[in-house]
Amino acid sequence: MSDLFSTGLSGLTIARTALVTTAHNTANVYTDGYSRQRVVVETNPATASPGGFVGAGARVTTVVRSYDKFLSAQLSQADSQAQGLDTYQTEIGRIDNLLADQNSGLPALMQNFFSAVQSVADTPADPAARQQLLSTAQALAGKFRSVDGYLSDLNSSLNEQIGGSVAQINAISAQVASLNKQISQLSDTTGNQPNDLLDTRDKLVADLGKLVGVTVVEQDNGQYNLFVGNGHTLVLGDRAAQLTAVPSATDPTRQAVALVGANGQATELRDSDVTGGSLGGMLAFRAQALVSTQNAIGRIATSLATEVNAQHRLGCDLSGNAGTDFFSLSNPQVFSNGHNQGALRLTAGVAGASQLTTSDYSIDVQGVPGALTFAVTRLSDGQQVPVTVAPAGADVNSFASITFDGITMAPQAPPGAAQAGDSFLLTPTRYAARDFAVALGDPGQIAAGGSGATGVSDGRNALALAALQRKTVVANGTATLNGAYARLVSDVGNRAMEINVASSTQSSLAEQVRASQQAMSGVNQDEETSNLLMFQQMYQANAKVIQTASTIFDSILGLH
Amino acid sequence: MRISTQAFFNVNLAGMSSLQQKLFRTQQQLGAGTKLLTPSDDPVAAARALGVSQSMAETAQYASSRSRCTQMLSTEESALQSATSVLENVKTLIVQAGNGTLSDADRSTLATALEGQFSQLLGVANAGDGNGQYLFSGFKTDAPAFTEQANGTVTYDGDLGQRLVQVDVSRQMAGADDGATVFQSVQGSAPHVPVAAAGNTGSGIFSAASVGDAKDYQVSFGPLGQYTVTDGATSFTGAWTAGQPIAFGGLKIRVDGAPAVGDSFTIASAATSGADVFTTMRDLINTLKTPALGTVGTAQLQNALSTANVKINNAYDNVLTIRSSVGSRLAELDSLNASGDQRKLIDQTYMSDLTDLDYASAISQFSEQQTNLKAAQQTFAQLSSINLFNYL
Repeated sequence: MSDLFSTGLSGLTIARTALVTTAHNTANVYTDGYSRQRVVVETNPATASPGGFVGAGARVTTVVRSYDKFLSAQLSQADSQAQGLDTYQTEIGRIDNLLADQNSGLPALMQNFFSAVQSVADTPADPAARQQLLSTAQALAGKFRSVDGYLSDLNSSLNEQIGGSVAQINAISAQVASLNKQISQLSDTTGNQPNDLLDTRDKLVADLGKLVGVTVVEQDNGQYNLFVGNGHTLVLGDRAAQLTAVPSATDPTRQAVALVGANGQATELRDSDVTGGSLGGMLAFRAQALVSTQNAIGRIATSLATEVNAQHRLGCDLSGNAGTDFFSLSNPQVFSNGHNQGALRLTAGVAGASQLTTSDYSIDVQGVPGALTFAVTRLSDGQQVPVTVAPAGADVNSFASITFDGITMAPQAPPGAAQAGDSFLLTPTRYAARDFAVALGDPGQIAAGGSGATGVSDGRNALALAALQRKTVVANGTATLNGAYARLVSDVGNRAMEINVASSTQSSLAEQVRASQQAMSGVNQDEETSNLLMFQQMYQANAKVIQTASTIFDSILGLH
Repeated sequence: MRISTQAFFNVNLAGMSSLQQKLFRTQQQLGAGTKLLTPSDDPVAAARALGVSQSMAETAQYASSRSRCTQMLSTEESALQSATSVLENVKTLIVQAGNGTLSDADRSTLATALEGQFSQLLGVANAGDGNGQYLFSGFKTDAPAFTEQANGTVTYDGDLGQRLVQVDVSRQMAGADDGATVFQSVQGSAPHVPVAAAGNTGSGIFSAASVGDAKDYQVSFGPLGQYTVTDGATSFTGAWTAGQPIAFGGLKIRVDGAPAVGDSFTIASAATSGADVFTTMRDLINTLKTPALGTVGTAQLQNALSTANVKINNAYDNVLTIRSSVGSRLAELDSLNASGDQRKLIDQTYMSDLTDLDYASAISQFSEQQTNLKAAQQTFAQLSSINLFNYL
């Protein structure tokens, strides 16, 4: 009898556990990252009896989640890449939109400027034509500044977002670390897997992957170790390292990601090492698209100002005075690396605007003390650039100037000595558009006339200025000003198109992986509903068994 | 493969969302009328469109310059027309003054008429260009080209600057001619000018002077009825008889009357003899105001009139030639306008090919996408209502 009762009871217990698990699944049908759970039932050991082995019911050994660790990891990676590309796509879309403006964009204003120069060449004595030229020049300068402002704002917004991402990453990695501890404690003490905590931890790792690409290594005790960048430890067991956003040592205008070590020191991670997730997408966008776009706009501004100024100085204005600079431009900027030990500071100037590229340069001091040399690397293609040193053969502590790719650099007074390992970042054209302005205030100062004081209708210099729009003055004589802008548009457009395609491909891929993962771990409401019916009937059946056992017992008790 | 409930909804949502994005994009294209919403839609076309737009802007610049140049040249043409008619009047007056029956008083009246022509010509030379500037001043267009001095002569205050206008990609055209070229020059083919020396005391009258080469000649009369003719390098001396033609080198000339000893006549090139039309007219006016006394005075008058006639003809030819060059410049501008219009049309067509939306295909694409979206929405609505609970 008791075995009938206990067998029935075991069935009842199983049914109840199964019902509760089904209810749990149904409640979590839309929970993100939830893996459906099912009870694992095992038969109880049979009782031996003279008539054979009699079964003794069953018991629930454990509740497991339907989970494939490889699918889960694959999905995490796919989502991380997809998020990275999505972020890159959003950011580059902003530059793409900026360059789409046909009617009031930079090329239209440059065309207006040259039309106005042509009008002055036609009627140099007309004060209205001269005023019109100054106005269009100012509109053009304003446009350069506003385009640069937009790109600088993009950089600032990226800096902020990097800071925000880093804070979120820290919060999540702290949670993962604490979950690691809880999970290993609970599975040790109970011998069972804490399914919901495991799901939560997997969800956190997926969320982290959307922020930055992480590598997950599972330890033997079930704890997750997370690595970021090029093998830097983010979470080790129950300890989480902190990331922080710091101004980059090479370029203080840009935030970089740094890992805070055990001693409190922050080690900067290289931008190229941090990939995946929205942070990786932002860093890739910044390095590949933002820098080159800002530099390309700056290069156009530099070429325009340099050529116009040079031609303008050859002419005469209305009062017979020689022309002065038409546009004002700032010098290229040099940043000294934050880790430099030496006291050398460098300045830079444009030697040949036509040879400028759209790349930034890294100038490193190498060699032994007494024979230090400069090694200049062009950052866009990583190539070493040949450098002309003046005076010839001079070393770092005795040089007067070095020239390469249209730039001349010289030591800044007061003089300081450099040390091996020092490095500098040169941005030849980054700030050219920001500082672009019209230097003339008075229409009468426009040097429309040829050299030598002649009359008011002398427009020979204006004719030469108008001819600059057809002259190939950019990129070693391969492009006109408009052509250089068209090249920029084509480069950005191509990259944006590439990223759009890559992003939608990656999204489709992620969707396919998600479908597989959901096939394994997702809750199907109809399935749970039929399970509900099934276990309900099982409960009723087993209850009936107990009722039968009770009836039998009653009848035995009724015997006298 | 199992479909989880969440997956079902996600997939449907993603599908509808993607269809909506495509529909929205087509709508934007229809609204903007262009298929290039951003450069990433077609980077090559976007870059080419920029090149075409630059070409169109340059074409428009040249068209505007040509229009300005046409205006300047038309104004000059009308001024030169006035100058031509003044010089024709002067030629008529010279012929009238050569009439032997006129008295000094008559010639004085003619001189007054000539004064009027002189002022008129000066006015033409100082004409404005319709833009507040002076037409014939070269670069110095803020001041009149010529000023009359107290002694009746005229000085040129402008310069020789050519006002070039960029009328096409590689064509710069002079939009104006300076006053020195128009009123103080002669053409290279102008005939030599015979002039009787101011100090002549005899009554020699020259006529039928012609020079076949480029040298300057001088005929002088010495004692004993001798005359000497020289071209500066070689000379010839011979006996002179009145009415007998003198021929030497390229020179042919005939002297009548009675030249005195020491009289001389120069037959120099037009440029060397003074090409300033105002000086010529002033000299003529002074000549006509001077009474012609006796045979000497008559001879001097005849010689002066002959000289003036040649000089005025040379000036007239000069103005006519410049006028014809203005005409051919205007004709060239017309032909450049035609080719400029052609270029504009080609550029516009290319630009339209690159960027304009094909409305027919866009609209049919729009209705196709709309249908897709409707189908997705309807199937989703139907599928999501299929539930086991409906049957329990």
